[in-house]
Amino acid sequence: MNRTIAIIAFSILILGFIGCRTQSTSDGSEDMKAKASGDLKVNYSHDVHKNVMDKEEFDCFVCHPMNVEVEEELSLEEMIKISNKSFFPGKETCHFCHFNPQAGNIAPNQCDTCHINLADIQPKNHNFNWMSKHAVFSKADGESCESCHSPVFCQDCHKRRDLPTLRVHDRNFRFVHGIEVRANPRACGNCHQVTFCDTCHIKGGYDY
Amino acid sequence: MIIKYLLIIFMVVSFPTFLLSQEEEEEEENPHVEMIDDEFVCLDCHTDIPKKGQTSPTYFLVDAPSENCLGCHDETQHAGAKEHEGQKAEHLPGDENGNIACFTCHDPHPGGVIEGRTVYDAQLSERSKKFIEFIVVPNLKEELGHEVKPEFSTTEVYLREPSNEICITCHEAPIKKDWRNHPPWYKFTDMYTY
Repeated sequence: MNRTIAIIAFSILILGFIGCRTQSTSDGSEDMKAKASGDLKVNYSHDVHKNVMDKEEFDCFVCHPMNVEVEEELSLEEMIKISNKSFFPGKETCHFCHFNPQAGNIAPNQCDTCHINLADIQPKNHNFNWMSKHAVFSKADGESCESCHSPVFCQDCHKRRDLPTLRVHDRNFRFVHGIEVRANPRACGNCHQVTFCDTCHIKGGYDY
Repeated sequence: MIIKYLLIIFMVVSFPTFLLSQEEEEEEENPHVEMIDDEFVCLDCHTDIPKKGQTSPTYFLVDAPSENCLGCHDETQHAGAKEHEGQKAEHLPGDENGNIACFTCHDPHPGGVIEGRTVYDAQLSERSKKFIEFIVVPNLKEELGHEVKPEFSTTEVYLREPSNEICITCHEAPIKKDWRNHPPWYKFTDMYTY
């Protein structure tokens, strides 16, 4: 009987200890994985960046620039606005290293490091059947594409011979596609229309 | 004879111009540089030329420490200045309320004026320059519609510590409390008033 009570008490102690640890970890914002998409205050950690900043010999002004000069007479309110916008430039600070299609990235470029829901940052026209529509848009406004994609992104499909395995599907994708379709049907919609599925699943397949 | 008159007229016309140009040059003189050779420049900011060892919470300044620099400099002398104003100067000298003032980061005295005191130029990495030139300035123009340009001069800023360290003194201290044993601001009155 005493042994049972001792075991229960010990278990409660252990569980309490684990509970406290979990709570204290979740309170420390520095340790948290990003919670809010694009929220710099939550997503950015000075601690995480400290080593790389030291290694690259970057100064603090690389993110908080003070070196701008105003060439006109302005009110104090306007000057404060300029000061604030210069000292805390916002997402451009992150993008200058992590997402810089023009000059190239010098830091990891996984968008989901900060943007948890990628649908938030995906342009509205990148929807169903985008793969077949994109040529028109890219010819009309190539610069718009380059605000997110580097030229390599286009070349990967348009210039390379191994394109089907590179950015599209593995060679045996036909046999496993059912799993991925059920996991994320929206991903299929980026390139295919529903009629594409119907061709095999209802009508009986393509005429090769 | 005509030449003589012409010469006199030329001198009469050119003398005031010469005086005006001298005046303009005098206006452009920088007291921070002048004080190296002329100790009476101290009186531009101090009520008396402080002697070694003399201390005062007001640093013997003619105005309140928080106001003193504003006689010549703008409140928004550089980006980020206003963002620091009013914050506690816990590890470096502060104003009459212990808050950050210009002289918290910048030593008004250049090297050589106060014995044993070293001041530093700012350091700006190439990446910082590119970020300012290609991102910050165009964005400021586009979003706020004002004419701004990069300003990359890093000399004569007289920082109390090298660039990054002056920031780290306060910003990293809460994380690494033993990084450097900074005394509280009021203890700096011994060091920073003469």
